[in-house]
Amino acid sequence: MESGEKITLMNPAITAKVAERVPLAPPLADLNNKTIYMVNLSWEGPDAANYLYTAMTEWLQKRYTGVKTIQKVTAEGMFGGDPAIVREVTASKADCAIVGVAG
Amino acid sequence: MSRWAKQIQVQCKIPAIGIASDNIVHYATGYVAKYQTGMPTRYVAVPFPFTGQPRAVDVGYVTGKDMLSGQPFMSAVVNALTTPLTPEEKLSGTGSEESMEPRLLEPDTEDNLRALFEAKEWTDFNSIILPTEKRVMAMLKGTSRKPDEVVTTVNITGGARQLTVEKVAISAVMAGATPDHFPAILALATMAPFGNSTSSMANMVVINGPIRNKLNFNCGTNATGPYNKSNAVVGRAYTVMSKTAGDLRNNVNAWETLGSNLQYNNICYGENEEALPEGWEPLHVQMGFKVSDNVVTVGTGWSSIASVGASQMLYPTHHLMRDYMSSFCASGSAATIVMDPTVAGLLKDAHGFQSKEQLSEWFSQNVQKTAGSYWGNGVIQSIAVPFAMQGLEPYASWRKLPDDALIKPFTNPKAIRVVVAGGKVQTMWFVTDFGMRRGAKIDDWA
Repeated sequence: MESGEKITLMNPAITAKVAERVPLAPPLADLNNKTIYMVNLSWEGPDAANYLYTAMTEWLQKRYTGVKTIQKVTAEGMFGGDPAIVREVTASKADCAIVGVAG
Repeated sequence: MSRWAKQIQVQCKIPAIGIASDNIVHYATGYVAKYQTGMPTRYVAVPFPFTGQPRAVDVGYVTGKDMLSGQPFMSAVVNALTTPLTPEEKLSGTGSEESMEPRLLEPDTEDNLRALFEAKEWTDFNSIILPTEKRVMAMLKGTSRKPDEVVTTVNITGGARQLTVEKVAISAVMAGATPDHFPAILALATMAPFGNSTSSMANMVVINGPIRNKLNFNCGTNATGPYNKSNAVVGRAYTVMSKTAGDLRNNVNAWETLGSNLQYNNICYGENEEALPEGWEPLHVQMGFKVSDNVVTVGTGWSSIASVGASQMLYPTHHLMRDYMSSFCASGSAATIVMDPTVAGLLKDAHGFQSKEQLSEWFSQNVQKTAGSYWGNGVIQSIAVPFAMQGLEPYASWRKLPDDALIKPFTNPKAIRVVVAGGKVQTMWFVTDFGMRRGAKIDDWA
């Protein structure tokens, strides 16, 4: 193939499917008297997220009346599912959740 | 993490936000939201590294800044939970396919097309054979399969990309393969893409069966070195197809912090079946295939340690292998030992291992490491701590041990694989932490 001559090549890239859009759940008006589930995915161990969540709880409780946090470590880590936690969050009538921490 | 946040929002119908380190948060808010979850989950970010820090550092992040927005961290958390949704965040419905990839690229000069392939990161940045239609059609003559047949759907990082026989043929051409190699490359494609993790994974491709000799795969001297075309192009094809089919791009969805030079060729070699000691079966036969089957097997791991010197009677070879294996994380009990036929002969004749299985069993019983070293590995923390918390043994008991207590982490001898390769030039061996998947039959793709 001489430089300058136009050639046609086959495309190695593959069409990707964009995921079906799912809207976010409606946010809260404020955090007063709310129950927050803090889900610990245990990425590289549960300790670091525990430290962070505990400090976050202290910060929130100083600023919001009646705010309650529940820390929960997932049974199957970051890569598995944990239907029990989802059932527990639903049954508890929690108001919102924080999921983390991963890197 | 995004899957978790989505699950809670959809099933519990409450807002859920994510906290990630700043090394991957843009991946979570961008690629993952677009191709995996479809949900633009709100994130706040802490600095990386997050684990392995003194407690005071992690606690300090709460009074620091959100690495994503620059706001005070806790203000960002509160805002993420309370700010009204934007129109973009309320969108629902079926996502349209991203711009359809045409079968043929726009005609252009060779120089411009080479630049395009590099800009798109479709190559390993070594020179490629340009995939003209004529060359790809010639490659397709290496199989009886139809060009539009889907070999596998690649969805590890989202996108559900359908890797067809024709797309594999394009990668095979680019890697420099010939039609004779194509069935092996198609079998390899069933296991695409290769391992890709922030932890910098590597891969190993082992060829077994008569095809080794038919296609002149190197099983002898320099088996894992750059001295053979079949080893070179089949191993390289795995990289090219992984990058194209997996859409793997640096800092987009390929996040291997150090990367791995082994990914250029994926340690592709043939087992030296003819040099196996009597009673030692080839890898594919151990996996349940017939001796006459042609099989490609892929292993994934991180580390390889060479013996460096020749085997000595002063300290038996399997003892030295055992010592080296104790430095591996033992995730999934996985290890693969690659040894010269002379080492296999010594292990059988001088030390009495009548089969690979006996040797694997010995390693399982004799490799030890401290509980502290075991739990000090991040991969083990991510994978085995949840097992321990569920009460699964032996992890639950190991987690209660003092750091200096010794454990035997290779609990499953079947996950410790032994492959014999090399040219009987030196009593050399590699121990690796590669976990071998079950092989794929090349003959099915002829």
